[in-house]
Amino acid sequence: MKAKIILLLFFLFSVSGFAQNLTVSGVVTNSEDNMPVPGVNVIVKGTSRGVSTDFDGNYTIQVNRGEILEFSSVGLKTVSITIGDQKTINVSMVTDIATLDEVVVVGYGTAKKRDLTGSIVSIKGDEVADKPATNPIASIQGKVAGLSVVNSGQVGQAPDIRIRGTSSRYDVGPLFVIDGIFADNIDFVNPNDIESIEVLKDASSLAVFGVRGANGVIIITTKTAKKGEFKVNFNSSIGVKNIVGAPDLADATLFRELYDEQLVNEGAAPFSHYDKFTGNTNWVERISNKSAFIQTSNLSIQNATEKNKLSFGLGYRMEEGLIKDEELQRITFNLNNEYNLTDNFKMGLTINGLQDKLPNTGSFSSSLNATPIVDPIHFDARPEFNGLYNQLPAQIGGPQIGNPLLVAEVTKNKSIPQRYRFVGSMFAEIDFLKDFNFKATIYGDYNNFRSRSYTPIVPIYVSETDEIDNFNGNQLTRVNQSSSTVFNFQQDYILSFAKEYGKHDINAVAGFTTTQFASESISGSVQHDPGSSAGIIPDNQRFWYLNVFPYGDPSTRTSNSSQSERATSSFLSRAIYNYDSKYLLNMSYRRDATSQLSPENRAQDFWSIGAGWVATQEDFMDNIKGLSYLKIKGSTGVLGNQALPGGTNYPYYPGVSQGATAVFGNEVIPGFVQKFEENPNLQWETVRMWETGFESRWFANRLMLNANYYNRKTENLLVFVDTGVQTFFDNFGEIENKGLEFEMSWDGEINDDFSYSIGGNLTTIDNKVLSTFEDAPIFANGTASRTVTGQPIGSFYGYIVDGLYQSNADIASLPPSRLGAYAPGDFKFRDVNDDGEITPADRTLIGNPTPDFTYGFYANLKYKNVSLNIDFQGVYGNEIYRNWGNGNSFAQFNFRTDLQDRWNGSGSSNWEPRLFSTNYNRLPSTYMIEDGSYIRIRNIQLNYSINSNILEKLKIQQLKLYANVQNLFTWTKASGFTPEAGGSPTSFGVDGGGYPIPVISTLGLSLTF
Amino acid sequence: MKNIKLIRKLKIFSLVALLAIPFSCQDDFLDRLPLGEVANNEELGVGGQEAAMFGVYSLLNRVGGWERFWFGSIRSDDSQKGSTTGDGAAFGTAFNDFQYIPTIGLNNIWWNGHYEVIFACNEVINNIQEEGLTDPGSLANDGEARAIRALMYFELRRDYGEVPIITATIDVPSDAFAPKSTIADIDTFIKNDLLIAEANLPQSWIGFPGRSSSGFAKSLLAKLYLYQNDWSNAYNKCKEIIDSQVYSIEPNLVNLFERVGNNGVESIFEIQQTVTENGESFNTNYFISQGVRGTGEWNLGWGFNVPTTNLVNAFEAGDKRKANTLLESGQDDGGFGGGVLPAHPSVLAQPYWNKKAYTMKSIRTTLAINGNRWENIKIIRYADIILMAAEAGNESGLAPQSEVVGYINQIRSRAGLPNTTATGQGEIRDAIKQERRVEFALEEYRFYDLVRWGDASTVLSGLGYLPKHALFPIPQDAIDQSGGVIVQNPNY
Repeated sequence: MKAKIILLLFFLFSVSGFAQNLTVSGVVTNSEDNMPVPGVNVIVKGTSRGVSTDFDGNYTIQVNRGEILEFSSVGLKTVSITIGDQKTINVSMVTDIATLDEVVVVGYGTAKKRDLTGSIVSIKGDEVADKPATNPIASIQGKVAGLSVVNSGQVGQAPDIRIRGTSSRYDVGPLFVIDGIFADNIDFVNPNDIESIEVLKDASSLAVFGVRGANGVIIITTKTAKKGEFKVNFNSSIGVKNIVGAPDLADATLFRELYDEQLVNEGAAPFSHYDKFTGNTNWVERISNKSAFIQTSNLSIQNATEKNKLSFGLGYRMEEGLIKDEELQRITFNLNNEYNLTDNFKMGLTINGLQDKLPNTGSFSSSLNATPIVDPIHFDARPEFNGLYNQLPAQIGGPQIGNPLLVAEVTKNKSIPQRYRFVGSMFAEIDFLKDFNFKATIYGDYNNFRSRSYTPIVPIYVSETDEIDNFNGNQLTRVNQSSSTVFNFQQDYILSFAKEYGKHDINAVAGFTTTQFASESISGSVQHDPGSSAGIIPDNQRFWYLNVFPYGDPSTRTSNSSQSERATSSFLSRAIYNYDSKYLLNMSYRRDATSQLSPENRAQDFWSIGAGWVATQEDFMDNIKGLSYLKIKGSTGVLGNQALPGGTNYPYYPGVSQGATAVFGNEVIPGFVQKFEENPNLQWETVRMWETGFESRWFANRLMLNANYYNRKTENLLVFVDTGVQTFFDNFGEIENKGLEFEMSWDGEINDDFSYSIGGNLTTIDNKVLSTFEDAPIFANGTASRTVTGQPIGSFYGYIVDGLYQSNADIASLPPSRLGAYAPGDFKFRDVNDDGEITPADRTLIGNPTPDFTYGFYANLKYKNVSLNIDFQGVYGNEIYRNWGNGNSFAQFNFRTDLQDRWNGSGSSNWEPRLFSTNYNRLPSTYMIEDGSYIRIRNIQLNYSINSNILEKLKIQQLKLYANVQNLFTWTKASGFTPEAGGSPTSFGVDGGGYPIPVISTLGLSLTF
Repeated sequence: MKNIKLIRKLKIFSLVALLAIPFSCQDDFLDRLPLGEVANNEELGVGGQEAAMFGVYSLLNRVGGWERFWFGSIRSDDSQKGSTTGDGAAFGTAFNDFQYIPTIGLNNIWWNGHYEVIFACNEVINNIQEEGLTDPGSLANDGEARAIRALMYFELRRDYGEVPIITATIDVPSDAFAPKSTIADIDTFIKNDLLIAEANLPQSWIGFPGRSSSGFAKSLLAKLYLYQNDWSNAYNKCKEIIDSQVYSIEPNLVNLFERVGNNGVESIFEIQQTVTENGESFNTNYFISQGVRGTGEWNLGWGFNVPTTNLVNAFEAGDKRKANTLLESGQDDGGFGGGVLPAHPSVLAQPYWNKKAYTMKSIRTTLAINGNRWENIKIIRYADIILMAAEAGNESGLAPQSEVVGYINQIRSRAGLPNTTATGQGEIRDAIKQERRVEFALEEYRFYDLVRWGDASTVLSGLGYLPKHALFPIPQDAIDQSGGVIVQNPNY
């Protein structure tokens, strides 16, 4: 075989040695409408000689006899013609259905996209490789209909990902399947190693994942070598991140004005220490890391021979956070090897490794709260006082808010968190009896997180008393050490069958799979002995161990462990059938059994059925102008979700609370407090979903137009009922998510050099809790998120503010309030239930954190070897609950600049309340509600591929340079750092003011040998 | 040829190897019990309900937090919020100024904490009943669960009035909801529990200082009678406790509110707090929240529940209790070894602090901990029994005046005061009221006593007290969760 190829190559080579002695010309037309096609590439195969058709479809080219001319264009089938004696070659090109023959990765195998009845969106790895995010899913925000991604600006923090709405109280994140292994996150995957990302959204695609399928599945396939290929790629990028959109807070002058007025309002004595606090500090600026740096480098080698496919990758990433001294360092490697032992038998293995030096992350929230009148650092003529951090005034947050700069520069950094993860698999695969294939795979995932940390004694300067205190009053140094490991073991045994009988085409799989999950963590601490001459444990990483001699006091050493395990075993099956590529039928069934539920109820069944009709395959559709492809489809099924609140491992076996300890005198005796009531009838929640829609291509496949209606109803919601007194697990309640998804794109070519594409997607989400247990406690000062019947999940619940009371007469004329003391300048809460008084019964729905719709759109322009990509992303119609800048009833916080327009006399304001430190105006209300809609320029990217002629001399296949700006601008009305606020399934869209989304500017290059 | 054979062998071998991995169809693959802890349905090594009972004691911390003094002390005329102006302002208006709000967080915690302990007690009591256990150990467990349950209902009734009585083991959420019972029914229920407890409980426990005893059950019953104005029963019960001679007055006032006084001779029931030898703390925020709010070595806590001028002036000249109740800014701490406190108002925000929450400097140094995490929270102490005996004896007329005056003088003499000069039922009543006021200052007595005596409307009117404020509104969440089965107290 090899010899033949070489011979062929030799032949081609030698032919090209002849002189070019023939001029061929002609017209290229489209077979559908016989119209000329401009911009068709006409290339002599195996050479770099080529031209393209002009606006009227004409071309002229110099060729030799025996050479092959290739005609190619986007959306049309490539045509090859061997040159004989003819001088005119007119070509009629047909629409390329082949692009629809695209193979996508589905669970436990691959399938032709055209055969599927469900909704799967496939994204090429290239799209995420050159984006600055650590997490590849963060990079596809706004690019997939139905996929909601709410990013965090914090280094290494995974985005909040939801597919087609919020369908559970505890777990809404999709399942990740990385080269076959199930995982809850994709930390260990280097974006550069990804070949493709498939997002599975509907019953028909998901049922094969059974109890793990209800929240959608994201399948990641990493790169493997392609047959006959030897490729070395090196790429590298550098970037900087900058904070934008910092909230507007009072400076020292405004703070003093507002605080003085507040004290007057409260009848309190004026603040007597302004002379000692003369600073004017912008804490956000002081703790932030200007131009935080990102750097990545990746090397990959791919080699494939007839027998063996090898792929190897190495990646390095360094990323700084937006607060001082936050830094992630990540090294990843992977190895992927596949070997054909015989024609019908192959084996392979993959190994992925990751080492993380994790960042010591901080938050901006205390810098939003700290008063600006304090200088971060104290300067003093006395050397022992000079350079100490200042404590905030005792009356203005001192005891509650630590100096934010001290936290950012000192205490935050006294820990060394690290992670090691290895994920690997091995398979053997055999083809037999012509149509059958059996594949056995075992997977292992080892994930170790370890940390050493130190509690220092930090001196801090107290201005009021002119003395040095210890930060946080801490008098003891302490070391904590911990290690926690998660082991995951999975095995898949899959039998596949594929056959065509005449017009019948069937593709079926059946399999058995198990998972075993175990988690073990140990931790300990030790502190110094204040009575010993050894003194404190030194502030030096070398000493941060449990056995630290002679500083650690052995009698203070503590040790703890926590551990859990679980297992599942499942049977799965799926059939994908089509008749004449016209009528499609997909069916799946899976039975999952788990160790976590009671033995009588541990197994549950899941299924789906989908049907489709490729209308354009029918003869009578031929004369519809412009329509190249139309599939009408629908699917329905029942899927599961193993939704458990965090930290629960054994919902059927309530253990006893750790730390339930009775004290008698100095004796400490462990007590027995049952964690919750057991429930033998407990089941995983089920999601009943259906969808219907169409996929279409128009105008020689240039226009794509898809639309879907989806409906997902979660039944038997798993609820951990906490009445505040007793706790239970139960199945109770229903949530419905429904909406429409649209996708559209247009690929166009102006001429041979200049092409473009535009497109976009839009998803509507209508979320409603049909029934549930009422939510747990709402504290007067807490957040407002609620999950109640008849409203969207996580709705904001509170009072409606109808302005401010302007006078006592105003108060007297309106219904009395039972919510606490109030006076002119306080909120007029609306008497919603019209019972003549303001009570907690007047709280109502004041906001919905789920957008009405989310969308993204893009434009790509390509001129010769330069391309420019711009994409936008946004959400519309949701509300944000502002949970920062509202003050606090224990500590005096800084004020939002908005409060310079506060009420301070009749008619002075009807919205910003008087300054007063009780909770009346802090009750959750429409005052804290902000419009969450935004639109963002997500990426602007310029790519440049260096001309291949130059590269050939340097033996380089490809050299690409690019520059990217992410999050360049956001149009938003939200007053916090960012309108993006993820969270838990039942509390999201709450802006705690914690962390901005930065603008990231990156420069990169990619070099392929 | 050899190669092909080898490959074939290899192929078969590897396939077999992969398939040989435990093919886990069998059911025990899925039998995974919790690791490192017993699951609820497993037998325990320790017999009967002992371990579950220890669990009840551990839960007492849920009702041992600072809610206790917000409800019990700050509402009185002798105590106020404290700390700095803005700190806890919302709680201040609610509790100090009688602007109760049903949704205030402290209210939820206080209510839920009590029911959490009640449900844990129910579990113990019902299990003993269902399993028909009659061994002395189980009966004692039954007794202590009932005594603690009675304390919970007594405190709920005192703060909220009518509340639901739940006796069931809670298996499904609806088990936890019931309509409110009348005060009379609640009292009968408490009394019944306490009578059983009194019979089943030992006088004291060897090796378990502070564990619920028969004396505790009797004392609580005496207190219940007192709240019912059932003077003769109250008097008889107090007399029974006094005559048992189990308890006595701690002669040294300083020790009473120090670590050395934990579970002392005067202690009848306390919520236990400790710092163990390896530095682990088992405590609530009860005392830390009352420590001096300063910086450096005077950063002893959050500075709440501080004396009012009213209280400062309430002490007779020569009353040793004054120095043991009031810690004054700018003055020496009076022999506790901490030296002079920073001045008020230039440094400290309050002129006086609660000295009952203050600690010896030497302990702070030894433990390298500033906040008081080691003092027990007093629930009932013997001085209360003595003064209850005096009050009930005086009101019922069952005790001769000499006996009543003797009780008062017993308390006065420890405080270094001469015998009372009061004579006649009215004067003696006033003397008892005064004595209770100063003896239990800043503990959780004054507000409840004022309400009980019918004096609250006069004494507290300046603070905004109205008759409805005798009862706190039931937490909005409890009402919401019950689906309206529980109704709000009148006028809220």
